[in-house]
Amino acid sequence: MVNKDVAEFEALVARQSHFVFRVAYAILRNRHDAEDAVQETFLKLYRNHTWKAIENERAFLARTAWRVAVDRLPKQQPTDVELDHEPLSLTPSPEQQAISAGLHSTIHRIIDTLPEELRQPLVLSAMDELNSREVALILDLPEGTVRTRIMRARQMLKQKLATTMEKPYAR
Amino acid sequence: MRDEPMQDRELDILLDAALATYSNPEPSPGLTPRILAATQAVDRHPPVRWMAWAIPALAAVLFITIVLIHRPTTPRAPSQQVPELSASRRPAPSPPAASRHSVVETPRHLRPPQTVITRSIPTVVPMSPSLPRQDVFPTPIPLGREEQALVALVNRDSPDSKELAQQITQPDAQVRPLPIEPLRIAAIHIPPLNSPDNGDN
Repeated sequence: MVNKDVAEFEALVARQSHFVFRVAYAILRNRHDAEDAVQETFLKLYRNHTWKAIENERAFLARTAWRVAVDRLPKQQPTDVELDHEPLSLTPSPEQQAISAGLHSTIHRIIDTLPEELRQPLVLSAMDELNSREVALILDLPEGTVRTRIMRARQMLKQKLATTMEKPYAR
Repeated sequence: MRDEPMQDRELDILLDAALATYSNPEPSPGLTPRILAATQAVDRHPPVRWMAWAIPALAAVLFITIVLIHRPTTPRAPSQQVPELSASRRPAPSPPAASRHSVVETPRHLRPPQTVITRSIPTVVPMSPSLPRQDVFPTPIPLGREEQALVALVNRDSPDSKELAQQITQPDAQVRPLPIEPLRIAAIHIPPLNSPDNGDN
Protein backbone atom coordinates (compact mmCIF):
# COMPACT_ATOMS: atom_id res chain seq x y z
CA MET A 1 0.00 0.00 0.00
CA VAL A 2 1.22 3.49 -0.84
CA ASN A 3 2.49 5.63 2.02
CA LYS A 4 -0.22 8.18 1.35
CA ASP A 5 -2.92 5.55 1.68
CA VAL A 6 -1.34 4.24 4.86
CA ALA A 7 -1.36 7.72 6.33
CA GLU A 8 -5.00 8.20 5.37
CA PHE A 9 -5.96 4.88 6.88
CA GLU A 10 -4.11 5.68 10.10
CA ALA A 11 -5.97 8.96 10.27
CA LEU A 12 -9.27 7.14 9.77
CA VAL A 13 -8.47 4.72 12.59
CA ALA A 14 -7.44 7.51 14.91
CA ARG A 15 -10.57 9.47 14.03
CA GLN A 16 -13.19 6.74 14.26
CA SER A 17 -11.86 3.90 16.41
CA HIS A 18 -13.62 5.20 19.51
CA PHE A 19 -16.93 5.52 17.70
CA VAL A 20 -16.58 2.04 16.18
CA PHE A 21 -15.78 0.72 19.63
CA ARG A 22 -18.97 2.22 21.03
CA VAL A 23 -21.07 0.64 18.30
CA ALA A 24 -19.46 -2.73 18.90
CA TYR A 25 -19.79 -2.39 22.65
CA ALA A 26 -23.47 -1.47 22.36
CA ILE A 27 -24.04 -4.79 20.63
CA LEU A 28 -21.62 -7.06 22.47
CA ARG A 29 -21.66 -5.51 25.97
CA ASN A 30 -18.14 -6.75 26.60
CA ARG A 31 -15.04 -4.60 26.37
CA HIS A 32 -12.64 -7.24 25.08
CA ASP A 33 -15.10 -8.59 22.55
CA ALA A 34 -15.82 -5.07 21.37
CA GLU A 35 -12.13 -4.30 20.94
CA ASP A 36 -11.67 -7.48 18.94
CA ALA A 37 -14.63 -6.48 16.79
CA VAL A 38 -13.11 -3.03 16.22
CA GLN A 39 -9.84 -4.58 15.14
CA GLU A 40 -11.61 -6.98 12.81
CA THR A 41 -13.67 -4.14 11.37
CA PHE A 42 -10.67 -2.06 10.44
CA LEU A 43 -8.76 -5.08 9.15
CA LYS A 44 -11.66 -5.88 6.83
CA LEU A 45 -11.68 -2.35 5.51
CA TYR A 46 -7.91 -2.39 5.09
CA ARG A 47 -7.88 -5.68 3.17
CA ASN A 48 -10.80 -4.82 0.91
CA HIS A 49 -9.65 -1.24 0.30
CA THR A 50 -13.27 -0.24 0.71
CA TRP A 51 -12.48 2.59 3.06
CA LYS A 52 -11.17 4.75 0.21
CA ALA A 53 -14.58 5.45 -1.30
CA ILE A 54 -16.85 6.05 1.64
CA GLU A 55 -19.59 8.62 1.38
CA ASN A 56 -21.00 8.56 4.89
CA GLU A 57 -17.99 7.59 6.94
CA ARG A 58 -19.74 7.08 10.26
CA ALA A 59 -22.67 5.17 8.87
CA PHE A 60 -20.40 2.95 6.81
CA LEU A 61 -18.10 2.20 9.73
CA ALA A 62 -21.03 1.67 12.07
CA ARG A 63 -22.65 -0.75 9.66
CA THR A 64 -19.44 -2.74 9.21
CA ALA A 65 -18.84 -2.81 12.94
CA TRP A 66 -22.45 -3.79 13.59
CA ARG A 67 -22.14 -6.74 11.18
CA VAL A 68 -18.92 -7.90 12.79
CA ALA A 69 -20.37 -7.53 16.27
CA VAL A 70 -23.60 -9.34 15.42
CA ASP A 71 -21.56 -12.22 14.03
CA ARG A 72 -19.76 -12.43 17.35
CA LEU A 73 -22.94 -12.15 19.36
CA PRO A 74 -23.77 -15.28 21.35
CA LYS A 75 -26.85 -17.04 20.07
CA GLN A 76 -28.40 -17.46 23.50
CA GLN A 77 -30.38 -14.46 24.56
CA PRO A 78 -30.16 -13.28 28.16
CA THR A 79 -33.16 -14.07 30.25
CA ASP A 80 -34.89 -11.74 32.65
CA VAL A 81 -32.50 -10.19 35.09
CA GLU A 82 -32.75 -10.81 38.77
CA LEU A 83 -32.45 -7.33 40.16
CA ASP A 84 -30.09 -7.22 43.08
CA HIS A 85 -31.09 -3.70 44.04
CA GLU A 86 -33.76 -2.61 46.41
CA PRO A 87 -37.07 -1.63 44.80
CA LEU A 88 -36.62 1.88 43.51
CA SER A 89 -38.72 4.95 43.89
CA LEU A 90 -38.46 8.00 41.68
CA THR A 91 -38.65 10.29 44.66
CA PRO A 92 -35.10 11.31 45.39
CA SER A 93 -34.08 10.45 48.86
CA PRO A 94 -30.69 10.19 50.48
CA GLU A 95 -30.99 6.45 50.54
CA GLN A 96 -31.84 6.25 46.83
CA GLN A 97 -29.18 8.79 45.97
CA ALA A 98 -26.75 6.46 47.62
CA ILE A 99 -27.74 3.67 45.30
CA SER A 100 -28.17 5.86 42.20
CA ALA A 101 -24.74 4.81 41.02
CA GLY A 102 -26.09 1.33 40.54
CA LEU A 103 -29.36 2.47 39.03
CA HIS A 104 -28.02 2.89 35.53
CA SER A 105 -26.32 -0.45 35.57
CA THR A 106 -29.61 -2.01 36.66
CA ILE A 107 -31.41 -0.39 33.75
CA HIS A 108 -28.60 -1.53 31.47
CA ARG A 109 -29.25 -5.07 32.56
CA ILE A 110 -32.93 -4.64 31.83
CA ILE A 111 -32.03 -3.29 28.40
CA ASP A 112 -29.89 -6.37 27.85
CA THR A 113 -32.97 -8.54 28.26
CA LEU A 114 -34.75 -6.88 25.35
CA PRO A 115 -35.05 -8.83 22.11
CA GLU A 116 -32.17 -7.98 19.79
CA GLU A 117 -34.54 -6.61 17.15
CA LEU A 118 -35.62 -3.99 19.67
CA ARG A 119 -32.40 -3.53 21.63
CA GLN A 120 -30.14 -2.76 18.68
CA PRO A 121 -32.19 0.12 17.23
CA LEU A 122 -32.64 1.51 20.71
CA VAL A 123 -28.98 1.55 21.72
CA LEU A 124 -27.78 2.75 18.33
CA SER A 125 -30.27 5.58 18.35
CA ALA A 126 -29.09 6.53 21.83
CA MET A 127 -25.67 7.33 20.42
CA ASP A 128 -25.39 11.04 19.73
CA GLU A 129 -23.50 10.49 16.51
CA LEU A 130 -26.30 8.54 14.83
CA ASN A 131 -29.71 9.78 13.81
CA SER A 132 -32.63 7.49 13.00
CA ARG A 133 -31.89 7.59 9.27
CA GLU A 134 -28.34 6.40 9.85
CA VAL A 135 -29.56 3.73 12.26
CA ALA A 136 -31.93 2.55 9.55
CA LEU A 137 -29.00 2.49 7.13
CA ILE A 138 -26.89 0.45 9.55
CA LEU A 139 -29.61 -2.06 10.29
CA ASP A 140 -30.77 -2.16 6.68
CA LEU A 141 -34.32 -1.39 7.74
CA PRO A 142 -36.82 1.27 6.74
CA GLU A 143 -36.61 4.33 8.89
CA GLY A 144 -40.24 3.93 9.96
CA THR A 145 -39.54 0.40 11.16
CA VAL A 146 -36.62 1.68 13.19
CA ARG A 147 -38.77 4.34 14.81
CA THR A 148 -41.48 1.80 15.62
CA ARG A 149 -39.01 -0.59 17.17
CA ILE A 150 -37.43 2.14 19.25
CA MET A 151 -40.86 3.15 20.54
CA ARG A 152 -41.76 -0.45 21.39
CA ALA A 153 -38.43 -0.95 23.13
CA ARG A 154 -38.94 2.13 25.26
CA GLN A 155 -42.45 1.06 26.19
CA MET A 156 -41.24 -2.36 27.25
CA LEU A 157 -38.43 -0.83 29.29
CA LYS A 158 -40.74 1.60 31.03
CA GLN A 159 -43.19 -1.17 31.89
CA LYS A 160 -40.40 -3.25 33.40
CA LEU A 161 -39.03 -0.28 35.28
CA ALA A 162 -42.46 0.73 36.60
CA THR A 163 -43.14 -2.82 37.75
CA THR A 164 -39.81 -2.92 39.49
CA MET A 165 -40.28 0.42 41.20
CA GLU A 166 -43.91 -0.02 42.21
CA LYS A 167 -43.37 -3.35 43.95
CA PRO A 168 -43.11 -1.91 47.45
CA TYR A 169 -46.35 0.00 47.02
CA ALA A 170 -48.19 -3.07 45.82
CA ARG A 171 -47.72 -4.79 49.16
CA MET B 1 -50.85 6.96 44.00
CA ARG B 2 -48.45 8.80 41.68
CA ASP B 3 -49.67 10.80 38.72
CA GLU B 4 -49.49 8.57 35.60
CA PRO B 5 -48.09 11.15 33.09
CA MET B 6 -45.66 12.38 35.68
CA GLN B 7 -44.34 8.91 36.28
CA ASP B 8 -44.09 8.30 32.53
CA ARG B 9 -42.07 11.50 32.05
CA GLU B 10 -39.75 10.61 34.90
CA LEU B 11 -39.26 7.15 33.49
CA ASP B 12 -38.33 8.70 30.14
CA ILE B 13 -35.74 10.88 31.81
CA LEU B 14 -34.36 7.96 33.74
CA LEU B 15 -34.27 5.84 30.60
CA ASP B 16 -32.50 8.50 28.55
CA ALA B 17 -29.89 8.94 31.25
CA ALA B 18 -29.30 5.21 31.39
CA LEU B 19 -29.15 4.89 27.61
CA ALA B 20 -26.61 7.69 27.42
CA THR B 21 -24.26 5.68 29.57
CA TYR B 22 -25.15 2.33 28.00
CA SER B 23 -22.36 2.27 25.44
CA ASN B 24 -19.98 4.94 26.53
CA PRO B 25 -17.16 3.02 28.21
CA GLU B 26 -13.73 3.97 27.01
CA PRO B 27 -11.73 1.35 25.16
CA SER B 28 -8.60 0.18 26.83
CA PRO B 29 -5.64 2.44 26.07
CA GLY B 30 -3.63 1.50 23.02
CA LEU B 31 -6.50 0.30 20.86
CA THR B 32 -5.56 2.49 17.92
CA PRO B 33 -1.87 1.45 17.92
CA ARG B 34 -2.97 -2.19 18.12
CA ILE B 35 -5.22 -1.79 15.09
CA LEU B 36 -2.43 -0.13 13.13
CA ALA B 37 0.03 -2.83 14.17
CA ALA B 38 -2.41 -5.46 12.95
CA THR B 39 -2.75 -3.76 9.58
CA GLN B 40 1.04 -3.50 9.27
CA ALA B 41 1.24 -7.21 10.03
CA VAL B 42 -1.15 -7.81 7.16
CA ASP B 43 1.17 -5.83 4.92
CA ARG B 44 4.19 -7.84 6.06
CA HIS B 45 2.45 -11.19 5.68
CA PRO B 46 -0.07 -10.85 2.90
CA PRO B 47 -2.59 -13.65 2.68
CA VAL B 48 -1.27 -16.49 0.59
CA ARG B 49 -3.87 -16.73 -2.14
CA TRP B 50 -2.30 -19.68 -3.94
CA MET B 51 -3.01 -21.86 -0.92
CA ALA B 52 -6.71 -21.64 -1.72
CA TRP B 53 -6.22 -23.94 -4.68
CA ALA B 54 -2.88 -25.54 -3.84
CA ILE B 55 -4.15 -27.39 -0.78
CA PRO B 56 -7.07 -29.10 -2.54
CA ALA B 57 -4.81 -29.94 -5.49
CA LEU B 58 -2.23 -31.48 -3.18
CA ALA B 59 -4.93 -33.48 -1.43
CA ALA B 60 -6.19 -34.78 -4.76
CA VAL B 61 -2.69 -35.81 -5.85
CA LEU B 62 -2.17 -37.60 -2.54
CA PHE B 63 -5.49 -39.40 -2.89
CA ILE B 64 -4.69 -40.59 -6.42
CA THR B 65 -1.24 -41.74 -5.31
CA ILE B 66 -2.67 -43.74 -2.43
CA VAL B 67 -5.27 -45.32 -4.71
CA LEU B 68 -2.61 -46.32 -7.23
CA ILE B 69 -0.35 -47.74 -4.54
CA HIS B 70 -3.07 -49.86 -2.98
CA ARG B 71 -4.36 -51.08 -6.33
CA PRO B 72 -3.97 -54.90 -6.77
CA THR B 73 -0.83 -55.39 -8.88
CA THR B 74 -1.07 -59.19 -9.58
CA PRO B 75 -2.67 -59.57 -13.00
CA ARG B 76 -5.04 -62.44 -13.62
CA ALA B 77 -3.65 -65.28 -15.68
CA PRO B 78 -5.44 -65.15 -19.02
CA SER B 79 -4.98 -68.91 -19.58
CA GLN B 80 -7.20 -69.62 -16.63
CA GLN B 81 -10.03 -67.46 -17.84
CA VAL B 82 -10.05 -68.16 -21.55
CA PRO B 83 -11.15 -71.83 -21.30
CA GLU B 84 -14.04 -70.82 -19.09
CA LEU B 85 -15.18 -68.22 -21.52
CA SER B 86 -14.53 -70.33 -24.58
CA ALA B 87 -16.41 -73.26 -23.13
CA SER B 88 -19.41 -71.11 -22.55
CA ARG B 89 -19.39 -69.49 -25.96
CA ARG B 90 -18.36 -72.27 -28.30
CA PRO B 91 -20.37 -75.48 -28.59
CA ALA B 92 -17.68 -78.01 -27.77
CA PRO B 93 -18.19 -81.76 -28.07
CA SER B 94 -18.97 -83.11 -24.66
CA PRO B 95 -17.49 -86.53 -24.01
CA PRO B 96 -19.93 -89.20 -22.86
CA ALA B 97 -19.75 -90.66 -19.43
CA ALA B 98 -17.95 -93.78 -20.63
CA SER B 99 -15.17 -91.81 -22.20
CA ARG B 100 -14.81 -89.75 -19.06
CA HIS B 101 -14.44 -92.94 -17.19
CA SER B 102 -11.77 -94.07 -19.58
CA VAL B 103 -9.92 -90.81 -19.14
CA VAL B 104 -9.81 -91.37 -15.44
CA GLU B 105 -8.46 -94.87 -15.89
CA THR B 106 -5.61 -93.79 -18.20
CA PRO B 107 -2.24 -94.53 -16.65
CA ARG B 108 -0.68 -91.63 -14.97
CA HIS B 109 2.40 -91.59 -17.16
CA LEU B 110 0.20 -91.25 -20.26
CA ARG B 111 -1.81 -88.39 -18.95
CA PRO B 112 -0.96 -84.90 -20.09
CA PRO B 113 0.26 -82.54 -17.47
CA GLN B 114 -2.76 -81.38 -15.50
CA THR B 115 -3.36 -77.84 -14.64
CA VAL B 116 -5.63 -76.65 -11.94
CA ILE B 117 -8.54 -74.71 -13.39
CA THR B 118 -9.83 -72.16 -11.00
CA ARG B 119 -13.33 -70.93 -11.64
CA SER B 120 -13.33 -67.22 -11.75
CA ILE B 121 -16.13 -64.76 -12.16
CA PRO B 122 -16.13 -63.67 -15.77
CA THR B 123 -15.28 -60.04 -15.89
CA VAL B 124 -16.56 -57.74 -18.55
CA VAL B 125 -13.54 -56.31 -20.26
CA PRO B 126 -14.38 -53.10 -22.04
CA MET B 127 -13.38 -53.37 -25.64
CA SER B 128 -11.11 -50.75 -26.97
CA PRO B 129 -12.68 -48.72 -29.74
CA SER B 130 -9.53 -49.24 -31.78
CA LEU B 131 -10.19 -52.99 -32.16
CA PRO B 132 -11.59 -54.00 -35.58
CA ARG B 133 -15.20 -55.11 -35.85
CA GLN B 134 -15.51 -58.90 -36.06
CA ASP B 135 -17.73 -60.70 -38.56
CA VAL B 136 -18.72 -63.48 -36.19
CA PHE B 137 -20.10 -62.80 -32.78
CA PRO B 138 -19.01 -63.99 -30.37
CA THR B 139 -15.52 -64.05 -31.73
CA PRO B 140 -14.21 -67.61 -31.97
CA ILE B 141 -11.51 -68.18 -29.47
CA PRO B 142 -8.73 -70.69 -30.20
CA LEU B 143 -8.57 -73.78 -28.06
CA GLY B 144 -6.92 -73.38 -24.76
CA ARG B 145 -4.16 -75.52 -23.40
CA GLU B 146 -6.49 -77.82 -21.51
CA GLU B 147 -8.80 -78.19 -24.48
CA GLN B 148 -5.89 -79.03 -26.76
CA ALA B 149 -4.72 -81.62 -24.25
CA LEU B 150 -8.21 -83.11 -24.16
CA VAL B 151 -8.36 -83.40 -27.94
CA ALA B 152 -4.93 -85.01 -28.00
CA LEU B 153 -6.05 -87.49 -25.38
CA VAL B 154 -9.15 -88.40 -27.33
CA ASN B 155 -7.09 -88.94 -30.47
CA ARG B 156 -4.82 -91.48 -28.81
CA ASP B 157 -4.93 -95.13 -29.73
CA SER B 158 -7.04 -96.48 -26.94
CA PRO B 159 -10.25 -98.19 -28.22
CA ASP B 160 -12.48 -96.08 -26.04
CA SER B 161 -10.94 -92.89 -27.28
CA LYS B 162 -11.27 -94.01 -30.91
CA GLU B 163 -14.89 -94.81 -30.36
CA LEU B 164 -15.31 -91.45 -28.72
CA ALA B 165 -13.57 -89.72 -31.58
CA GLN B 166 -15.85 -91.46 -34.07
CA GLN B 167 -18.86 -90.42 -32.07
CA ILE B 168 -17.65 -86.88 -32.14
CA THR B 169 -16.52 -86.66 -35.74
CA GLN B 170 -19.14 -88.91 -37.48
CA PRO B 171 -22.88 -88.75 -37.15
CA ASP B 172 -24.51 -91.75 -35.59
CA ALA B 173 -25.57 -94.09 -38.41
CA GLN B 174 -27.96 -96.07 -36.24
CA VAL B 175 -30.08 -93.10 -35.56
CA ARG B 176 -32.63 -93.00 -38.37
CA PRO B 177 -35.72 -90.86 -38.66
CA LEU B 178 -38.94 -92.65 -37.77
CA PRO B 179 -41.52 -93.07 -40.56
CA ILE B 180 -44.40 -90.71 -40.20
CA GLU B 181 -47.81 -92.16 -41.08
CA PRO B 182 -50.83 -89.99 -41.80
CA LEU B 183 -53.34 -89.72 -38.98
CA ARG B 184 -56.77 -91.21 -39.43
CA ILE B 185 -59.64 -89.73 -37.45
CA ALA B 186 -63.07 -91.40 -37.30
CA ALA B 187 -66.05 -89.37 -38.44
CA ILE B 188 -67.87 -87.52 -35.73
CA HIS B 189 -71.66 -87.76 -35.77
CA ILE B 190 -73.48 -84.89 -34.09
CA PRO B 191 -77.29 -85.33 -33.62
CA PRO B 192 -79.48 -82.35 -34.55
CA LEU B 193 -80.70 -80.10 -31.72
CA ASN B 194 -84.43 -80.18 -32.64
CA SER B 195 -84.86 -83.91 -32.51
CA PRO B 196 -88.22 -85.15 -31.16
CA ASP B 197 -86.48 -86.72 -28.16
CA ASN B 198 -85.55 -83.25 -26.84
CA GLY B 199 -88.75 -81.56 -25.71
CA ASP B 200 -88.99 -77.75 -26.12
CA ASN B 201 -90.25 -75.70 -23.16
